[in-house]
Amino acid sequence: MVLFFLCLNFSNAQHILKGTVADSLTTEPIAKVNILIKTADNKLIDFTSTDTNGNFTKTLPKDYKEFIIETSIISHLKSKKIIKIKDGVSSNTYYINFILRERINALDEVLIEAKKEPITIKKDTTVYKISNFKDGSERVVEDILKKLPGIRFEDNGQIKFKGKTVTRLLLDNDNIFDSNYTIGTKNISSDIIDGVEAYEDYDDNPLLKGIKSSEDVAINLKLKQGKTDISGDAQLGAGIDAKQLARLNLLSVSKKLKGFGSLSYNNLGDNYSPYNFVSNNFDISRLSELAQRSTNLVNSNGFNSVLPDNRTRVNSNFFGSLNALLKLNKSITLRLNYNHFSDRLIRDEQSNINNTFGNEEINIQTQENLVKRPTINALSYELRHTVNTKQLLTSKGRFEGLDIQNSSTGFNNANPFTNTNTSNDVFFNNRVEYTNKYSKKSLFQTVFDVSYNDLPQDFRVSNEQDLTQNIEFRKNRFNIKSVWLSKQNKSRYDFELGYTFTEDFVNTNLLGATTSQTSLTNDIYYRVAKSFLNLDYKYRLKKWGFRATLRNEFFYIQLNDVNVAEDFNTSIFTVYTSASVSHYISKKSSITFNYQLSNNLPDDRTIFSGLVLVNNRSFLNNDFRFNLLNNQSYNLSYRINDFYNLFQFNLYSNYSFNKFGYISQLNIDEDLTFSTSILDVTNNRNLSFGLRTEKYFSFLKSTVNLNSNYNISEFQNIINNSKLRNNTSENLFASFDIRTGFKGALNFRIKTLINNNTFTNEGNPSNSFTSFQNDFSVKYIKDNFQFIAESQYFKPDLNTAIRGDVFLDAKIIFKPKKSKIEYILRANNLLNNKVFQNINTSDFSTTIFQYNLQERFLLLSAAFRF
Amino acid sequence: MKSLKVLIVLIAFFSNAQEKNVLLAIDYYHATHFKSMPTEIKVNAFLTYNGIHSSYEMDYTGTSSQSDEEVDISEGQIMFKVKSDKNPILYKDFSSKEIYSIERIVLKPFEVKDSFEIFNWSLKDEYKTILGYKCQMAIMSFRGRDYVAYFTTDLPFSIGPWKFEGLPGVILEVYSLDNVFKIKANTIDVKNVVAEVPLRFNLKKAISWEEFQEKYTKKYYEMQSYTDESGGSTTIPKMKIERIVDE
Repeated sequence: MVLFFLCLNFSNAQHILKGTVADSLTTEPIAKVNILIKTADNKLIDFTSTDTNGNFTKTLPKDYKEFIIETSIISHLKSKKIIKIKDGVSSNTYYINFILRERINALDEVLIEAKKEPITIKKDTTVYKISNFKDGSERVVEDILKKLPGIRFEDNGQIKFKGKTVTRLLLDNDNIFDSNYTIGTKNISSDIIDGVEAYEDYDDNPLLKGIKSSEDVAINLKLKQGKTDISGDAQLGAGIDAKQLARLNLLSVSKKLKGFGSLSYNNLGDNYSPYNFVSNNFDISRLSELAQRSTNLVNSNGFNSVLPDNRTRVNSNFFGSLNALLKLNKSITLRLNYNHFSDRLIRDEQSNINNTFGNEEINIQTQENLVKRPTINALSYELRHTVNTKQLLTSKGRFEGLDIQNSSTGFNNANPFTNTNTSNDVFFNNRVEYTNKYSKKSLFQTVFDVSYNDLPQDFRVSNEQDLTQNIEFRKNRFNIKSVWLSKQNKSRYDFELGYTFTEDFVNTNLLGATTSQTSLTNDIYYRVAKSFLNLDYKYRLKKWGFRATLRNEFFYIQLNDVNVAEDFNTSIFTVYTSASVSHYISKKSSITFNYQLSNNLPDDRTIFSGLVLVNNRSFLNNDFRFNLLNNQSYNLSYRINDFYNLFQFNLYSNYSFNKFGYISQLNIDEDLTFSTSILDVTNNRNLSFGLRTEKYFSFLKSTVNLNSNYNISEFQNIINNSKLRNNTSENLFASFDIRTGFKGALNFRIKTLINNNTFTNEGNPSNSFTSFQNDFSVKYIKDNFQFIAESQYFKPDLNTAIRGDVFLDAKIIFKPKKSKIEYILRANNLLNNKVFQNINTSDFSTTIFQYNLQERFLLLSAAFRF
Repeated sequence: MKSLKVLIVLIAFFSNAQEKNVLLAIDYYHATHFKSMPTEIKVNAFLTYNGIHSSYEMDYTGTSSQSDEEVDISEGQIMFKVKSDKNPILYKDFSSKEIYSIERIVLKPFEVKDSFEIFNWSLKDEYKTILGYKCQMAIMSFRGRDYVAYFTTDLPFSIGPWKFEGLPGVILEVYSLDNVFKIKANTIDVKNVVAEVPLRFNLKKAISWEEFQEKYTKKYYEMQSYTDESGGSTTIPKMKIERIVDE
């Protein structure tokens, strides 16, 4: 027992070092002196330092017999003392008092530099750690992107980041899709994505970075490293009744070539392509081509549905896409894309239109069974030559051939009819751009582009008579401009000088009908030659931002219309201005005011005076008098973005005034509708307010979102020989949404929407309808099993007797362990609603219409990745 | 008599200015590679020390004035102007022995102060030469990671990059054993001048690291219940370079 005690004592032997350090001349204690504890052979094993009173204390390391204690401070010369540990003594305290002499000589100055290594600088980049956002239910890139904060998807597949438009989807910084990025977002598997970055102020041309600010954003997908050169996924599904799904995607990544290919067939109502032939949703692949494209009168998607597109799209669709980016050598890259799309869409529509104006009341009942077959072949390329670090030359072109065949049969009141129409849309465009960044803050560009668009349309109606309508719209356009951009300390300048030449040809001919009042043919040549000088100026000073744009345009216009005796020639000078002021109140909130004045030329759709038949009962023409369309608008918005407190708030309002606009003159009877568009002084005003706010409430563990908008606008029309009618249209929209964030597997979401439309015609009672929608969804995700169910209740009008509809969808996804295959069971429209009824009003009519839906189906599919 | 007066003045000058009479400017490569990120991010970082204060600026925006060195001389003092307001900067006060930094919770910034006593170094018998200086190895564990550092007693200042300090010499390299955090010096500049290290912190508003951890942990649990419009949710990490939310 005693031995134990003694042994313990010896092994716990602690030796302590204590002391002071003082200056030799002043005898003042010195603080912050390093006391180095070294072994006998001068190895540093421990250390301490003196406090403000010059004292130090430290437990000496065990197992050593001798120490060298040394002082180290830049202002004094060093001093050493040796301590020898006395044998046989268990604990001892050793005292040293150092007296140090000041260093008189100055410290040696030193400059050592090593060779520089490359660094990563990321500016304007938001990097997402996507593992934080995935919950396992994501299958394609679109599913991941939708969950990232700041990213919003519009109905047509376009992406917005912090309110700015996303124009490109890059794969490891390579632009393989150009503007058609829905091919990527809807088809690339989410499993191969490692990270997502959003680049603000993005431009395809890297030389513009830092000089031209851009409102565009590019989303960059970082692919997982270490995967084999070729990866892909395939999915096959079959179900009742006669439902089929087949998808194959291939991604190839190598040093010189990056390629993505996608093939799909479905008749479920899904769309994996960037093209849309079902609803009015704007086609984003055509965003940059608006000025170069002409009009399709016969086959525009006039269909506007409140239901999501895949419920109303009864299709049989094949889509294929090949995209490749080749690095030919160090300075030249080539991008090639080819898309093929073909579909067969079925639509059965019925409508009952009740027109009331003045003392008249006209009732029209129509029914149409339509089969629409669109086919697209599109080829595009881009050749990019990086001449050196300051110069870039690019050539970019696109060729697209679209063919739509329609055939339908139906009834117009009691009269049967048969329609067939064909339209072709051939489009070609090529753009060459040369950029020279001659200094760090300035650059110069020359741009040259040419385009061609031809739309022959053919329309045949058989009812009591046989009518044939031939239409051809054609547009040639040529544009050349020089751009000079410069960035100074707080401001940015943009100058553009250029010339644009546009020719429009409109030729129509209606056979099989006679009339004495208006012509049934059109032969129009519309030529506009524009010279322009544009200036853009931006200035930022602390909490204020200012921007002004001025466009000076000189037009020489010629319009030859065979139906009008004299040719029209004029030259005008117009101005477009816009100014905005922003005040950044704090890091989280800002207020912006914007004013804009624009003068636009009438476009090819509104210049033809001869009648054109566009469906089995409607004729169109224009009463055209040349005038500039003048519009002034004012915008005010206040925004709070407090992501820390999970609170967002946006209050905005807009007022606009149109001096000139279009007035519709309608002549309606049971059989036919004639519609003339008159360009005249309108003095129409439009006012809107909006509020959007979102907050997370921790006691509910849920996020609540409120969105509302009110809009009132004026417009005029003339109906069946009435005098000019002044109307107003008011719209009030409100939506309320709660989504839960419980940590368990089960989560809910409830969304309620109310939409009210009211029309007034001076003195006359108003037409109004209020629609109501309620969505409820449940999600259960646990390990490899997912269950998602959604219900949607829609009532077209709270006041009429039209019944409301309930839609029910469910999806089960299961991936057995150790299996590479994932099974998906999908049930669509479980309550089997075959038609959907809806109501629409205008200032003079109420329409109750119904159309067919994608009926109930059950689909079982298997998907695997390789 | 006269020479004694001069000597006294000189001594007075030296004893007052002994701490101010040195300026160290060391450039480092500062690299972070978190497991959830696909690539490493490496930037330049600048350490400036004048005997009393030091600042460590991490140049993420590429706009630091020290990329094109700008020096202004006025009244016998040299001021290093650090133009960019957007780069993260750490500030150390060697008299009060405190480290000041801006830490963010979901992008909202907080001024946090740490004491100098947070590092628990132990010296090792391994050596390496960095930029011509013989450096010794020291190791320690700090807030969830294990670190290895190399310091040189030839430059006897207890300074280092980022929050690191407290060794009897300048730390020229430090890295975490899991490869997430790496810093290495590439330029050393020692001058005999009197200089100011500008401070842009409001030291009175700073909260302690423990208080910061409390706020962060509370927000961490709150974020777990938040979902946005498309059903996505956001989480904040439990550990950045330092562990903030305890397991």
